[in-house]
Amino acid sequence: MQVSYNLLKEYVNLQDISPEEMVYRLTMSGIVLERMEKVSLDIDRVVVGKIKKIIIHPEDPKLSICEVEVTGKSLSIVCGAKNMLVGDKVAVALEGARLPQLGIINSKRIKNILSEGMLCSASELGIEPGKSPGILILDQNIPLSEELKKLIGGEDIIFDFEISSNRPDLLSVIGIAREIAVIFERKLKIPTVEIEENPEHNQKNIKVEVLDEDLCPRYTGRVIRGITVTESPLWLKWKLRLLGIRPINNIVDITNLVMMETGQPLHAFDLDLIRGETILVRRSKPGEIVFTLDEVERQLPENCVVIADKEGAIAIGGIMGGKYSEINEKTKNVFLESAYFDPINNRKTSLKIGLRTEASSRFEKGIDKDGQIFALNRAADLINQIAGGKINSTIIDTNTNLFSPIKIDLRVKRVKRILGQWLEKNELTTRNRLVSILERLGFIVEDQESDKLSVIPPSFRADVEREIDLIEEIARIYGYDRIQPTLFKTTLAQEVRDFKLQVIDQIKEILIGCGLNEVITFSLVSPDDFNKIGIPEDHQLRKAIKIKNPLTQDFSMLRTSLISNLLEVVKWNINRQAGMVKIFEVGKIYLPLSAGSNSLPLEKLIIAGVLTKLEGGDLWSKSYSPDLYEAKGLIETVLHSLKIECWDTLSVDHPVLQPLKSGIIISEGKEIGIFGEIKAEVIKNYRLPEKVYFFEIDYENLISLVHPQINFVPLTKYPVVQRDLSLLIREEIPSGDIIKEIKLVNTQLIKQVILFDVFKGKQIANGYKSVAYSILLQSEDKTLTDQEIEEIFRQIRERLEEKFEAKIRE
Amino acid sequence: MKDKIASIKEKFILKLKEVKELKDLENLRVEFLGRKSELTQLLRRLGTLSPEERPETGKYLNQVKNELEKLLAKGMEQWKAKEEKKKLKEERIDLTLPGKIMQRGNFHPITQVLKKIEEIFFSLGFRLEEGPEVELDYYNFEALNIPKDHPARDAQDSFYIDREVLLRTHTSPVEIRVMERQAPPVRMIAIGKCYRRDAIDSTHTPIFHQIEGLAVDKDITFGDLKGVLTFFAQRMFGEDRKVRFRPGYFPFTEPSAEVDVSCLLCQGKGCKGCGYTGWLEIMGAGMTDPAVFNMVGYDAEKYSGFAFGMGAERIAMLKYGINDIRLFFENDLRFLRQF
Ligand SMILES: [Zn+2]
Repeated sequence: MQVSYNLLKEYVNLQDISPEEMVYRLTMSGIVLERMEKVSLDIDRVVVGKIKKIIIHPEDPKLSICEVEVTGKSLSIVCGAKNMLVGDKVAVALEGARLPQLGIINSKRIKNILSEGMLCSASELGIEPGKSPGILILDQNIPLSEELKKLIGGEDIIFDFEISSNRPDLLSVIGIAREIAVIFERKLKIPTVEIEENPEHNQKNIKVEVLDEDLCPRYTGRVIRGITVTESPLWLKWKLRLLGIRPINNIVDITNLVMMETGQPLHAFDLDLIRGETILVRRSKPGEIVFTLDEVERQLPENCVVIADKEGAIAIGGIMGGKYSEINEKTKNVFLESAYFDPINNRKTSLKIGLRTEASSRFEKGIDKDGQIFALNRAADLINQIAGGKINSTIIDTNTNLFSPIKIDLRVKRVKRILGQWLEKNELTTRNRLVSILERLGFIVEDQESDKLSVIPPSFRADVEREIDLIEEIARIYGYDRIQPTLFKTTLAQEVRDFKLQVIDQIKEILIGCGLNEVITFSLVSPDDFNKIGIPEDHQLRKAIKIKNPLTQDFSMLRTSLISNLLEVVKWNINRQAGMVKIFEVGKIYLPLSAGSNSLPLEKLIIAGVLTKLEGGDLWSKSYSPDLYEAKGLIETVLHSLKIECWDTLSVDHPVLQPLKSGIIISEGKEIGIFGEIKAEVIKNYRLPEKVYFFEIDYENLISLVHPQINFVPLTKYPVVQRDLSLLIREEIPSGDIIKEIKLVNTQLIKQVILFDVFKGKQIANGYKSVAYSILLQSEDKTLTDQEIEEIFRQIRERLEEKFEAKIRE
Repeated sequence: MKDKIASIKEKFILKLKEVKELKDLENLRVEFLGRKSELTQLLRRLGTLSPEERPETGKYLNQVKNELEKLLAKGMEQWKAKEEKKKLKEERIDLTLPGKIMQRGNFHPITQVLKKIEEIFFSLGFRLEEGPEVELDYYNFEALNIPKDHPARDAQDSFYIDREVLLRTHTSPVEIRVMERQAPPVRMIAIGKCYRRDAIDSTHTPIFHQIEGLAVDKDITFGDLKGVLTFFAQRMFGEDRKVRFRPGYFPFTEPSAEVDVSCLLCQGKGCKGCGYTGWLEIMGAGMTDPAVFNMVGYDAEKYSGFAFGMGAERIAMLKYGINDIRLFFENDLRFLRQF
């Protein structure tokens, strides 16, 4: 809501209140300033002149040469506008004049004719935004040679306030002024309206029939005859400039001014362009079309409210008037409308047709339920003053009890219960304070002596319906800053965080300790991302949840894996000269439940990461590069850290991972994680230069294996015996199987089997590999003898020879 | 014989001075104290002396032998140190070579901010709760006193999956879910991703993180709201921060408040960063609206409570002076490593 300091002064005495203080106190009562701007009519040596003669420029018929009488002289001025007539009073920029945008104006030759100054348009003077269509024509009664600056207010400050959707009453100058009056305890001055009414004389009589009262519970209007449509006077243009509204003509400008003043949108029709004698207010018919003021032909959806004459819709109620019955320079008789349209329907219509106007933004929030007649008369009065004519005595009003006051009980004790303190010393003085605040806000307070006040909100405060609404009003005006901060009076003993949530932090900590950076990416992806990571058409991962109303294709689906997000991050960093990228994310994927299950999708927490490094690096790191086993190792590090000891690794078929270079880790029958090398074609799609390794942990499956409770196992006193075993074995036998087999020989005494060498090459027969293990033996209750150890090793050798045809190397 | 011993000693001292390396010392030991050395031979010949001479000469001999041994040991020590030094010098250790850094990763700055916020509220007894991101319209709006067609829905333009299911626009639905399953008292926070249909620019992303809090009990007041949130703001932004509360509007709280801290950039004097107000808005809050209590079956006469919500990205931007929200989701390592 845009308003100015001088405009506000017309409604509330601002003496001794600086703009800064005013803004601060408004902020502290809930009205936030969005923008503040100093304005002044930045003009000098611009005076009122009168056109004596107009002739066409001999060299250019588009230009005129005007002879202008000003300051006792006659000046010859070349002008490109066409809208002036001999006898018009105009704004003349004299030699050396200053204009806001054009700067200093000097006499100059225009196509060989000397122009001794300039005739100004409203926009050149800074009174009107944009570009005015012609020069400014002034009122005839403005004295000749008067400085234009003196005719308008001069310096002012514009404020643009942010108004929350529950306070439509503040979308008006009077509304803001009322708030200031309440805060500073001053009187609100509302303009008085005295109308000279004239009886009807057998002229065209207009009737209004509201067919759909649910959409338009109140419609008022009156007729003004014999007006003259012209440009608005300078002061009105300047006021509209301060309110941020573009001037059109005097009638439309007045309806806009009154809307800004009172918050009640108005519309003026050319009475003679209304066909028939009855205005209908009704629901739109299917396919009905209105050609609106902004020159757009709009096909209306169903259930809009339209203003119609006997031929059809002439306006969209509460949103925009129609071009057909628009006020134009020939208009003589005006029908003025001041109505209340249903907020919800107005909002729906506005959304459906994609048109929001100053009027609709007020109706949709709910305007004053009893402000129609005041605004109607105020506008009629101003039209009468500015555009002449006579106001008909008939007032059309379809009101059927739109505003019915309600009574709200306010318990004085409840105020303290919610705010935590009395406003004043005690209950009694607090009660007086409550009454005073509410009355200043326009509420009627009954039972003022009781500890339960009875409060009636004014017609413009439909947002106040309950006791708590009153308490908010009181707290707001009393000042939040005067309420003492306190801490809880009681403590609440509870576990602040589930074990499961603690483990997430622990996992992050582990991966960060391993040198990975945590990333956070968007959980919305593009359909193209599935192509880029090469998910086949009918694959499970393609069954992503779609957004019905995405902003762009890029964020139109919920992700089913973190892979594309992570690869994008790799790409971003590689493109920015990062030599090594090791990252992980802990984030959700979203999987649809089977159709008809009528519940929300499955949100699964996933821990996933990628590793890659370009060639190069410093002295120590150049020889390092991440590989498949590092990806696997990260999953295993997490498992170890969470005290999970046993798992198996199997190969896995994954659409994004290289076959035979991807595996799955399974523990206690649960799929814990996947790791592998990203397929070459995927790497190509992301234009990555190197190999990328991926790992992923299923958090739900992992957490089911983590024991919240740790039980101490006593340390054994007996020594560990380490013996190495080297064997020659067929290439395709997985090392994991060999280790498993060794352990099976004596699960009690064989504590650990560590692979320390794998070798294939010249000395080894084709199809074979040499592997070497350290085997650690230990007993819990004695020192193992050589014979015992030798016996175990004999069994190991036997078992491996038998099972894998292994050759033991001595 | 005594003269002989004395001359051996003199000879030794002379030779000791001529030592050039550790090996020379070793040779000296063999020459003067070894089995074939003169001194050893003299020792063997002690028995040939007269009983009168024997004790005195013997004593003298031992004394000289000890002296030589001591000198030799001292020399050895010196030479060993010298040689060690020489060896080190020849190794040419370059202390300016880079150390072998065990490169640790970083928590994402949003995670760091969320952890800090959690800690502060944990210390006041708030419990961390969870809820779904894909949420029913009922929990996201209706139960929060935002019926269909409410203008407040405009400010939270939402991504819909179907008519009744959407991506949550705030973490407030978690409040409703917790209150539905648990009787008062309640003291909880909820943290997570939220979604709004905003085009990406330097202050908007369609996805952001929110922290929501709720306290409900028999005697909770607006004063408690102020106290708790002041405590939070000062822990988060510094004990010297001023905190102010001004009226705001949220459909699910009443009275509602916007919470500001004095600007971190200009110390409240007013600058471009704070729009020359001296204050930065950090969150919205308010006393839970009785209509919300009615929806979850709490007795609004008996219980009262307050709720608050803030955006993690905004908090992080204010705390670290970050000027573009997109940086959080680009995950540029040069950015991430700064935190
Ligand atoms: Zn500042």
